[in-house]
This record gives sequence, structure tokens and C-alpha cells, in this order.
Amino acid sequence: MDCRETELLCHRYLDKEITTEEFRALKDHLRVCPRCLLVWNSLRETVDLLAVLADEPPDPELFSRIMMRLPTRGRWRIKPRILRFAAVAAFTLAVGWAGFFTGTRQMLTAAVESRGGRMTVVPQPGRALIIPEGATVLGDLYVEGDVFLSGKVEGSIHVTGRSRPEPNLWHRLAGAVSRFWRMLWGR
Amino acid sequence: MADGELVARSKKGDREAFGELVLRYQKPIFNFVYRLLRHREEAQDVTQEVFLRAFRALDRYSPEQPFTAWLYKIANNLCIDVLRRRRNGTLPLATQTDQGEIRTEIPDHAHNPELLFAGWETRRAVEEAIASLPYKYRVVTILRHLQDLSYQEICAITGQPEGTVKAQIHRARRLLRARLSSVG
Repeated sequence: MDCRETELLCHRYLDKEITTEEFRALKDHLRVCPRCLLVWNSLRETVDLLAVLADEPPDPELFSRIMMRLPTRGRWRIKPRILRFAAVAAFTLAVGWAGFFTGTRQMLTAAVESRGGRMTVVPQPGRALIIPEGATVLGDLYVEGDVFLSGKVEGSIHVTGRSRPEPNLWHRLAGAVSRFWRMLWGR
Repeated sequence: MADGELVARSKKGDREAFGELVLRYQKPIFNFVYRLLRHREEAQDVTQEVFLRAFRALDRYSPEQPFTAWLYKIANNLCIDVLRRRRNGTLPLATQTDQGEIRTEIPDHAHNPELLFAGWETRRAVEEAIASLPYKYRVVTILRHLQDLSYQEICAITGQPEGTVKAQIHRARRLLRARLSSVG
């Protein structure tokens, strides 16, 4: 048996896997090989030294800290994926209804030009006239419906519906959701 | 009650059953994490996180593998994350000496007075020697020699074949032998 095999047997002994025959062969080699005897002794001392490290006890309150942080878990536990879907659906529904009840209309942007005189605009039902920022209406403007005014009217403007600033992203989103839900419910 | 039975009850929402599992394994998990991270408070935080993750992932636990091996695997992965963050500098828990060594806290054994009189320098030398091992060797050394796990369990935890684990253990013992040759 050579020295390399002997070292392997030393490790098998330390792992308590060595057979009786292997142990006999190991002892026979250690009797005649001082180098392997040195390796054998130092390996055993190393493993014995590792046993010096006793267990460290955790703080006594670690158990209660763990138990207090455990989430609720039960038979009717709702999986996070379903919760997320429900939250998105609820949010969509809330936005849609909010848009419906605040009277947000489907948006229609119209390029409006007038070369003076009087112009009458009748937006389609459920739609509004938008005069975007930067646009200028020259002359009088009559709107039989709602108008979103962010541009200019160099004349008088007469509105039978409501006049307010151009809708922002919130209004557009609410309007789109409102259309979606009306389509779903057949209104 | 066996681990399998406690896990099955925990899955149905029995918090007492999971509490029993925590009581059984919080100490070995804490020691495993503590030996790897060498910082007591952080080890407790990580131990807490191990059990929280285990609780949340109970549905994904397969009874084919031992519950202990599954817990240790979670702990090992968390320790790897912590040590990676330390190396990236986002967790300055370790202090760097002028020689570039990374030293972590000196273990406080005030809560375990026996250790105060049991060769503090020897224990310190052994801890430093283990800490100086490459991570993979450190893990298998702690699992084998300090946690007293079998090679099968260590293979399940590390995901490595038995031959590889044994080779790592043998190599770790040689390295430790060289570092501890002046101690004892």
C-alpha cells in the first residue's frame, strides 16, 4: 500500500467508514512509514480541534420573533397570484366606474381652424370637442356639448355643455376603462 | 412526532406544528449560519428568514427529501447572498484590516460562560482556520464536523455528488491541518 492510499484510509477512518481489513492495512503501513504516521496524527488532532467549537445558542427570543412574523396560513388561504389578479380587477372596476360617474367622455381631438365668423361645433353624443394647447380658433365658437379648452379662442365661445382643461392621462385612462366596461356590460 | 407529520400539519395551517419544527431546528440552523457569517446578530436575522421562507414555501416542499436538508439548503443560499453583498460592499459588517484581511466580530461568549474558560485562543484559532477556507470547503466542513451530518445529507444540501463532497472534506482537512499545525 502506498502513502497516497494510506491518506485515503486515514480519511475513511475519520469518517468511520473504514473496514476491519483496511484498518489492519493502515496500521501496518503506519508502523513502517514515519511520514504517514505524522499525517495520521495531525489529521486526527485537526478533527479533534474542530470538536472544540461547541454549539452557540441563539438568543432566547429568536423563537418568538420567528413565530410572530409567520404569515397567516390556513385552509382558505388565498394565493398571492389570485390576490394580485383580484386587486387589478378591483382597481380597473373602480377606475371604470369613477370615470363613468364623473362624466368623462370619450375623447375626440379635432383640429379646429376658423378664419373668422362664427363656427358651430356639435360633438357626437358622448364625445367632447378638444381645443389642444397651441391651437387657436379665430372667431366665435359655439359648442353644443362639452369642450376641453387648452388652446385659445380669439372671439367668444359659447358652450352648452361643460368647459374644462384638456383631459390628462387620468381622464383618458378612466375613459378607456369606462368604454371597456360599457362594452362588457352591453351598454 | 416525525418531521413529515409536523410538515403535513403545518401545511394545513397548524402553527403549533411549525413551531415544533422551529424549536427543533433553530439551534442547528443558527449555528450553521453563524459559523458561515461569523456575526451573531446577522446570523439570527438570517435564521429567522430561513424559517419564514420555509413556511411560505411549504407547499413546494417534497417529502422525498429530508426536511433538515431542505432547511439547510435555504440557509446556505441565504448565506451565499449575504456574503456576496458583503463582497460588493453593501453590507459593511466586516472590517478590513490593513493587510486586506476580512475580519468579522469577535464571538461574544458571555452568554455561555463555560466557553470563556475553555481555551479561548484555541477556539479563536479554529474559527479563523475554518473562516479562511474557500466557501465550498467551509460549508462541507461545518456540516460534517460541526453539524455532524452524513454524507448523504450533505449531498442533498449542496447538490453535489458524494465523491465531490468527500474530496472537498479531505482537501479541507489538509488545509486545516496546515493552518492549525501550531495550535494544540
